[in-house]
Amino acid sequence: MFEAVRQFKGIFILIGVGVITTILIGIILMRNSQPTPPPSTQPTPTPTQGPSQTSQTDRIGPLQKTYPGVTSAESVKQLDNIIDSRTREDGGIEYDFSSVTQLRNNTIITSEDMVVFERIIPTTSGGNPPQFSEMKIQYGTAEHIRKGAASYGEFIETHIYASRGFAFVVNPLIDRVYEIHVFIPTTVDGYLSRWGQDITSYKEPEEHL
Amino acid sequence: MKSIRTIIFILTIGFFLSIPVAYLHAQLKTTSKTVVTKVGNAPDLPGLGGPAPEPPSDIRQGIIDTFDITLNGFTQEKLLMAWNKFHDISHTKFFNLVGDVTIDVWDQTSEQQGCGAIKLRRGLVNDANQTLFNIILIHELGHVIYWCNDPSVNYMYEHENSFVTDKPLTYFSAVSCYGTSRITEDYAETIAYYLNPGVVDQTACGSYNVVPYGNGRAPAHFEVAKKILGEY
Repeated sequence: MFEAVRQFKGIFILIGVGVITTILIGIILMRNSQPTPPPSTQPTPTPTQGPSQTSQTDRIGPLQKTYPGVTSAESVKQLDNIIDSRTREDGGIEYDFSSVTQLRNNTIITSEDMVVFERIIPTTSGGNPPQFSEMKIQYGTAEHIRKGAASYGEFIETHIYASRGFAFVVNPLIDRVYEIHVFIPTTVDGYLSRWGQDITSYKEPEEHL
Repeated sequence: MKSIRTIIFILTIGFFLSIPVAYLHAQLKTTSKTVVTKVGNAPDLPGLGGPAPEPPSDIRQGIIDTFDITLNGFTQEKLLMAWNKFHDISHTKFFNLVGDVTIDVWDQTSEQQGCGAIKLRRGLVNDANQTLFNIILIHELGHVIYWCNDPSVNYMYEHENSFVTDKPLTYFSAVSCYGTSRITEDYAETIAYYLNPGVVDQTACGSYNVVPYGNGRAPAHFEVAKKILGEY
């Protein structure tokens, strides 16, 4: 036995070195493969909000600039990259910020010295909007879902979390969020009447060509 | 004895090296991502373009086998038109973006039903000559490209910017004949006229009577179409 150990001493040393090297490589690989934080579109978790809230406090992604019902109108004026502003028919002021598309800006609306609404056109680093299934895991099922939007068309769905003060405009065919709306918590009807014109003005086309 | 030692040495080194290599391979395999999210399998295209070959005796089946598009209820004449047009555009990315789609001719109004199904009104199809039929066919499948691919693949946002820069490409997308969304119609028109160059814009409800991309008209739309589909 000892004779055999002596005879293959070199091999045993080699095996020992090999085992140690493998363990070290394994440790390094494991460290490098630790899960990285999810893309920046992941919302920050916040406690569930009740319908009696007067402000929107969920932060839905990094592009959200304000908290409706909390952020002052004055602080919006200080924001960088305002490309346009106008007074609305309801007396509020609408501020436009550039987005990935010239057709729909990121928008903040103020009224009576307070932010009341913000629209975000979200994209991730890959140039795509975030996945709605991820949002749904975070926020659960919407209080109300409306199908169709005048500017997008028939397949678009708007998932409305009215009492929590946000809504997602979604293309369900590819599981992507095209717009995020944040607003002062309200009822579904309140959201539809004040911020849902694109939904309420949608009519079934005569021919879906 | 020396050769046995050498063999044991090589086997030992090989064994320990195989562990990190296998681990790395597994990591790379699980973290790779698919870029295109289109539903359906892209057909294995011959990349022809140009004149179509003689159609098989069963043209409908030939279209399924070659392009993954199923045409139900079409006359032999229309199937032959589709065979010719599909070959004409087969060198572009069109079929990779469209995927597996079934188009049925029926007697109700036309509509897209999700990513894999389109219904076309019988009268619309049967009354169309080859030129109009080509436009209708590609336009409808253009909607599938719009709705069923990620924006990084279908250049949806770039198209919206071209809509702002150039204004609507055709009369159809400018007025929204049937009450459909102007931007989605404009996208479908962008695809349809890029793959049917030289054709005057034409719809049931009116026309500008111009070639949409003629004389440098709508350059932003043209650039977007080229990005989406590649060279025609």
